[in-house]
Amino acid sequence: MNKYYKKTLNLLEPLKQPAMAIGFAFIVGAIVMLFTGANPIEVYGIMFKGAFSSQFYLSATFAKATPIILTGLGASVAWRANCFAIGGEGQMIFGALTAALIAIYLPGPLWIRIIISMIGGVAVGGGMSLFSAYLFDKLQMSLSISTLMMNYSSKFLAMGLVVMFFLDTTSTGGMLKQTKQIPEGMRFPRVNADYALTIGFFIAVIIVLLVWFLLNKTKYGYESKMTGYNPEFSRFGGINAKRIMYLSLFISGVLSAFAGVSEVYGTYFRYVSGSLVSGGTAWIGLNAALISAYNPIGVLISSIILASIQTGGTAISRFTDVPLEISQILQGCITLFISAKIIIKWRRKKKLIKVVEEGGN
Amino acid sequence: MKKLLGILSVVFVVVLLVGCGGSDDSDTKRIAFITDPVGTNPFLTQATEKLEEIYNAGTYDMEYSIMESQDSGAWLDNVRAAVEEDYDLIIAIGWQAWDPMNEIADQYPDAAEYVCIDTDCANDNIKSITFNAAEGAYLIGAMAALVVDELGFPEGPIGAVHANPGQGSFPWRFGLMEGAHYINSDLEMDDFIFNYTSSYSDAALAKELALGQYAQGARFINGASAVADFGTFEAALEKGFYTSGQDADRTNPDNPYILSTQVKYTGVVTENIVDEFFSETGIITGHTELGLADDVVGAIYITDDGTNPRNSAILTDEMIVILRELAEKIRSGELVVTVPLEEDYIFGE
Amino acid sequence: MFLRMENIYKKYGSLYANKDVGLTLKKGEILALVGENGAGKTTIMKVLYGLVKPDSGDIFINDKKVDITNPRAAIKHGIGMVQQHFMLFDEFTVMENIVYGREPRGKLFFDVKKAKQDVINLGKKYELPLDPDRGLNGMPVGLKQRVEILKVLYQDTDIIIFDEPTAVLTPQEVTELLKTMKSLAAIGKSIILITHKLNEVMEVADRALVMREGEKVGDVLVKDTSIKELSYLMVGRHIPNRKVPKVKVGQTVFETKNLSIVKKDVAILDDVSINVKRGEIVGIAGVSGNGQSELVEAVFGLKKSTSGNVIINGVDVTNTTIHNVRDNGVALVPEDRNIHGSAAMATLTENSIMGYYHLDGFSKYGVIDYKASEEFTKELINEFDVASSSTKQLMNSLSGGNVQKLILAREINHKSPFLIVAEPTRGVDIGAMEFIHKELIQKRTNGDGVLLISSELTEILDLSDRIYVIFEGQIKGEFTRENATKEEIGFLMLGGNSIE
Repeated sequence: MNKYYKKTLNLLEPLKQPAMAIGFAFIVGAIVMLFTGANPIEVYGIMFKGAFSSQFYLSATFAKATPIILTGLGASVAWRANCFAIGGEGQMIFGALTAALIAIYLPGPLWIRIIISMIGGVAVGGGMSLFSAYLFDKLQMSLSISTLMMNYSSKFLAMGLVVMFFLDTTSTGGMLKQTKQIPEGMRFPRVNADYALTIGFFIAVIIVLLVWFLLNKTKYGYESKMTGYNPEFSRFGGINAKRIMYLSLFISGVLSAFAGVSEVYGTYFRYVSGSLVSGGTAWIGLNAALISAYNPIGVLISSIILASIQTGGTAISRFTDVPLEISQILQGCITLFISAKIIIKWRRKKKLIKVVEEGGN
Repeated sequence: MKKLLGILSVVFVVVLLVGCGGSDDSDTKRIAFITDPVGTNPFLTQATEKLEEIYNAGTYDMEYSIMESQDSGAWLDNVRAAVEEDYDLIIAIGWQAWDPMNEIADQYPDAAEYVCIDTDCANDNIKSITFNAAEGAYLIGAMAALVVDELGFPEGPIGAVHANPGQGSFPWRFGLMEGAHYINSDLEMDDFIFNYTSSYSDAALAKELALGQYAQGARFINGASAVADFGTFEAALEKGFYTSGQDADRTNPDNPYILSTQVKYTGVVTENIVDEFFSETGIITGHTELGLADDVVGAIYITDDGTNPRNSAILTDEMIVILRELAEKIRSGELVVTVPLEEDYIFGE
Repeated sequence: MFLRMENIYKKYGSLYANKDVGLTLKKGEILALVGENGAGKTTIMKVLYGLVKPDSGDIFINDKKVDITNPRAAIKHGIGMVQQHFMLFDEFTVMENIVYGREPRGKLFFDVKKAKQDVINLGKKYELPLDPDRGLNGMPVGLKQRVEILKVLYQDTDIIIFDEPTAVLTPQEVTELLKTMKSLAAIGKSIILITHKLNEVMEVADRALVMREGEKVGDVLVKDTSIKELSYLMVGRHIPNRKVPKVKVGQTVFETKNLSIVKKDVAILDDVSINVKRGEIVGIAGVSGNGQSELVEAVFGLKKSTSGNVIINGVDVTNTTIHNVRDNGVALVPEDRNIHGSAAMATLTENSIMGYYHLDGFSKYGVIDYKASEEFTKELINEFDVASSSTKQLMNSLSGGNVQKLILAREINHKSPFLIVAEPTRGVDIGAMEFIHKELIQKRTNGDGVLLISSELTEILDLSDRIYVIFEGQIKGEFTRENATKEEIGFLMLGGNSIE
């Protein structure tokens, strides 16, 4: 009995920190709400209801979690191998735009268009990520900076391309910067016509399992993990660090780009400028990766939790008079408390690497 | 640590139990009003305040919910959830409504009545109401030409800080230019300066753009970038040029340089929709564009008297007479303001 | 009696880390705490310093029972600890490091002037002078340790615990440190010295407390004992004098020809020509930092040599990849086991298969066979007697000696004709050291070549068939087992020129 209790505790151990972060955030959120005259218990109840209480809400949460899972996996693969890249957003944008354009404009049977559009989308994302790897390799340009800059330029480049060449003028008279819709037959089928959930979520779950296998069972997984733990040891052991960096960043780019592709195929059915940025999906995905210490299964779980905070947050505005800002404060608090822990962890890791590097000289 | 986790889980369970309360059934009609975050955007506050007013008046057996959607994902969630949560009338305002409303209205044509404000959803199951913004802009353009003439700069330039380029917002530019041309036929296309904030809230950018236009000689700068107009107004107060705002009465006793506002009376539209919903006909689907003649578009001091005193030293009584005559011409159909495609547009014709 | 610890029990799982341990300490006394790794020395000191809560037992200071639940409480009771891995900020100055956490305050802010004066006074008082404004970056280890000692003294401590203080020091620095300890004791500070090195115990300590497997097995006055007796108490068995069997020397397995690394006109490696034959252990004697690390890195292609050649088994592998060098038959036990030899956060299995995982039997079609890998790890653990509970435990849960044993096991298991071992017994207890030496000799007996790089001269002299002395990147002399003398090698190591 005692043994099982201990085992369960061990299993729950990784959840302790995120649980605490979320707990603290809820307490701070409650204080803010009390000041604005709202009833925190009622609001939290509605959040929970709006995220989990029925199949409808649950499916909305899962649908929202899909791109978070994928960008989270993307971040995990890179960060685990000591590549602190944060280009998920840019890769997502161009993955989505490329996939949407191929799906809309490529002639031929639908299934061929689906395949080419998906491959095209993820290839562009992987390519972008490889480019930042190249910049680091040849010019020692920091990965975080090059990927961050690419996020910004991607956002505006994609917007420019849409407005100049691919604008859908039939809807809203061109007020929304978006492409045309992809043909109906190409879209991810819904699990239930009434719900937002598409098969995209299940594809993401399969990808979670694949990435889990990749990271935990394969040679590449071993090499990237050991590089992440101790680059010097890996070097002495004969692991080619450059190869691991290029490979990790490519896989990371592909996964993030697929998040964009899945949003086109399962949510918007077109590329809508700004839609992938405004929700902060890639950053939430990074959060999910960091909370779960790059464990794919953990990414799946924490993505669903983070998504539920979003769906629950929109429910607050539907069911109560509490202004949207309050639910945003709450979401901000949760992110803050989780990130606080992450930053400590990241700094520790950086410090360790520094020590290792100095020791190597 | 363990204690804390324990307490947290207890709180969680309590929250769960409270959250799962029952709901009551009655004939009360439920209205969902789905919008971008309302904040201080007068285009939206007019409508939400009107809903509150109708609810408080108690004329109809109704309740309503304002569903603020912070991003395009939340738009999809809220529209879908409004149907799931059995709302009877779903009103969506803004261009973001296009995709989610079309999708849901196609999927559930009978689950609720659907209304889109400010975007033509082109859907048989939806009532779409758009504004002929060009008519309001026309009046402001005429006012601008009169004011710069009075100030001794009849040849302009007339400035404008708008939100977006492109056909979608062409009515604002078209109206402004044509209205000014109506007053002063010597004006040319080069006498107008247009800049864009690409945002409805970037007041700092708007201010910078307005200051730039002032430096180029503009003494009347039309603001049409929603909340970002605050930047244009601040620049006007600093430099002493004249300006006008957008959406709801933006005149301000502390800033005499804001001469007027081109208005979309979203409150009126909202009231009309609710009235129609509770009338015998119910919501009649299809697209209607409303303008001056329907009292939903206009300009402060021309189509209504405004809430603040007019800066009559600059916007003189004579000008108001001229402008009201012009408004009457549009209202009666004598003068038709039809927005062409931007690429086909030839100034002054 | 100044400090008294009684009946300390601490159990981890089913294992007693401390079982009924008692300890006494007089004012001005130097107590050496000796024992193999995992004997429970660290645990009892952590109990004293408030880092570990004992299951039962009491601590008395001046016959008054005290409750030490955290290091702050320990410091309040006048107990300070000089850590093995210094707790210092490299970015800060000496003064800032010393006063950190107890800064003297002026009216409002940190009183820098007073702090500096405090540090200077402290240095004078204890005869440990230091420039308060000096930054710690690039400071020699011995001086950093002095900062750490002053930091402890600044906290008004009466009891100072030194945790393996000499492991990282050069011989001269060791002498200095031992002198410091004696003078501290002379002015009434009590010292507890945790160490493996029995000659240091004999030199400096008044009394030695010997621990084995969590229990106290001896408490003897140093003047009444000998190294032999202490080591017997420690390991519970007599350490035999090593007899190295005669082996026939074979072909040359490793050779460098005029190998140099020149960086900014400074030769880090200067024209190094050495060779190792089959059936030989060749030692490289020298104080650390005289080009030994660079030699290893140049051999493995980790640092590019500017001229010269590296030849393994007749194959020129100069400036190629580490893969290529290893494939040609070189295994390596690197100098720093934590940085280059293992990954602390990875499991024993993950650490063990480094260098093997790409081979048949360990992976197939890019997928690693973890079952086989664990079997392999278990074999290594059994063969080399690595104290561990599971192949899934993390490397950082092993003691230093056991980490080193596992690394050696991994590298020897390659069955390569040539093995480079750098500082194989640094910070390792006597039992593990014995074991490691035995394995190296076994490797030589098997007819393989071993290059032993060590700054422990005794180790070099004990094991090597031939000895090169390195100083500032140059080979200063070559000796055979027969003609090597400690005096001459020591002389060359420290920069003296050959007498010939």
